[in-house]
Amino acid sequence: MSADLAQRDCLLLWADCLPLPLLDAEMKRLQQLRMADLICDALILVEHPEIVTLGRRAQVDNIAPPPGYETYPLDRGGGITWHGPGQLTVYPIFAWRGEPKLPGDRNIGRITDLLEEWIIRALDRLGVTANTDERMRGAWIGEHKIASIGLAFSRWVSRHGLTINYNTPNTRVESLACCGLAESTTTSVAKAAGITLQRAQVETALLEELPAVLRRKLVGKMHCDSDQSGREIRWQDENPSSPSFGFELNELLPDS
Amino acid sequence: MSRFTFKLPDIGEGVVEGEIVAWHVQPGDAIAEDAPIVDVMTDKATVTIPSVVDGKILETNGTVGEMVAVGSELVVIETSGESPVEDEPSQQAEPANVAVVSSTAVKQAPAESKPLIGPNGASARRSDGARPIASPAVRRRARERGIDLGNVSGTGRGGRIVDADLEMFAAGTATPAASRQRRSGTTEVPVVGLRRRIADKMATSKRTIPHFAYFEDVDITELESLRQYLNSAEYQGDHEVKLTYIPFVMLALAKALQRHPQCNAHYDDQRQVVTQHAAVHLGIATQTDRGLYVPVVQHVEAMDVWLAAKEVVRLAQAARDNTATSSELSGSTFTLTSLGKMGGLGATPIINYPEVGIIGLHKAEERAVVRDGKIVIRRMMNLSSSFDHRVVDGADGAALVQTVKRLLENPATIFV
Repeated sequence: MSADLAQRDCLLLWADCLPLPLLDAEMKRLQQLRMADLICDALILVEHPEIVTLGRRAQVDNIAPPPGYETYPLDRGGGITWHGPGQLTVYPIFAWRGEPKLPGDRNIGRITDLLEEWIIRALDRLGVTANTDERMRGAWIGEHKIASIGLAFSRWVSRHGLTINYNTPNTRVESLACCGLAESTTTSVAKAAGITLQRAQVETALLEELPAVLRRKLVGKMHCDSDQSGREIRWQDENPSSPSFGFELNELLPDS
Repeated sequence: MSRFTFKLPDIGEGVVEGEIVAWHVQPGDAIAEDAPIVDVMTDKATVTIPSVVDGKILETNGTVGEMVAVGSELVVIETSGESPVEDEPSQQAEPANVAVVSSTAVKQAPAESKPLIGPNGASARRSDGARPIASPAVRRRARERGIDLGNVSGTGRGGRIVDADLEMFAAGTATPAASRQRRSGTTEVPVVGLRRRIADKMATSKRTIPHFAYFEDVDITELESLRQYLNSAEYQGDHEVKLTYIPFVMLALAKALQRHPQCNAHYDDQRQVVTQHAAVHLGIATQTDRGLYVPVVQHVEAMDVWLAAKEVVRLAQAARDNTATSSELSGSTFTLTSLGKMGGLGATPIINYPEVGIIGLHKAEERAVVRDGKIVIRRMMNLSSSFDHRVVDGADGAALVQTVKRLLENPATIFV
């Protein structure tokens, strides 16, 4: 098959709302599985209860949010990032390598380009015009940044990913100097474009653009019920009879 | 026993350096193949670099916060048996080496990762001449403002220089320890190798050629729309490169040089003969960590924009990897120079001897301009140019630049 038409299998993992530290651990587990080729690519769509994550940039620059925000350190690139309701977090646990070679493979800059393109095309489907901006990676509407990217790679398998602020509450995002940008620079689609989107709309648009931009085709979907307890994630197949991926994801929970 | 030198592998086209954010090993540690050595950060990503051999760490190069170039030595490992590559030449970062990366989970940055200066760090001065610790963004801002970070004291963790320190320094309120200490001593840097060749060539050009400079601004609003569209996934299809302005300018220049052949020439001042070239071989001035290289894109007149873009990327990378062949580094008939985001407003570029002209691209930005008596916002870019006034008259040089301007302002005409 030529690289022109090639697509890689991708499993959609959907959760309503999960605490970020819990999902951080789960991403590491999934990355291990993907590195060992025990699973295909996986795409996680989730929202988090409010928390501010500190990327490596923030950690080395000793940047912290003002009082009143819970924080959590992460090993992705980038600075401080707000997470919370009204923000869709999208975590591609993808192997950016393989045959035939696809756009983005083994090329961090290109991967980031593709993720930007993905966000912008998805929003365009929803009537929202966003762009890239030389000031910083991510997606921008005019002078405002509404989507962020931060990744960590091991053996060319990515972890972490991107966030899209579609309708965040009050001024929780705007009060922060996200990623080192001035306060109020980072905001939401609702505030920057005056268009109120639902989470499901954003998800649908992203999934519609997934094959064209990221060259992944969905082969299955699993979901995880909200687990505020922070204990464990268990994925449930939405179509148990589907033979699309011949393994039981939950059986591959780590020994630890 | 043998020594194995491990270099920072290539982690993607266009990524020429990364910042060390965490060491997983220190000298004396045993290391297993695939175990993580170091975490390196680029713009928006961290990459865990694993070992490709078993052995013992003898040396680590670079401290947390330091920028390391792709291909620079990261660690020296003592291996017990046959090493995949004996000492030199150690792997010049085959992309495959990044396949690399650890099979264990990425760790959090070790808190003990050896700060350059005292434990408190604050306001300490580096007395050892070590590279100051600062993020790429801070380094860039310091460069832009002409501030030598060696003179700035860092108040961030471990003595790291943060934006506030730059502001303090710029405002002249830097802490006394930083700016008011007397310094003495000199450092001699031998001008050898490529640096000497660059020096000689620049001197020959500037000494021999009476340069005249000419500037013009170009409205690239339409070009930007076209570029954005061609870069969109809708159009871009399988083209692996993103189009910058450079390939468009190359094509416009190729077309313009056809109309102004006196500028696409070499001047042999010994024989006093100007040789005009039918082909357009464009030198593309490229900064590498070894100095200025000018790889040459041959026959631009026969290229489409994608091919031109691809060739520029390929040749620039080859120049940076030191894999460009001599035929790829010679034979240009005209030169294009661009400092990308550092493009500034203008410059007086030095002609690539024995050519007779050079054009520089400067930063693209939105500016308020007057159109039909109204102030409107347009995306603008300045061009600067230098010509050999012995054989190119002012009017001829200006005419070439004006043709390029018209083509870029009406981008469809580049292609018809």
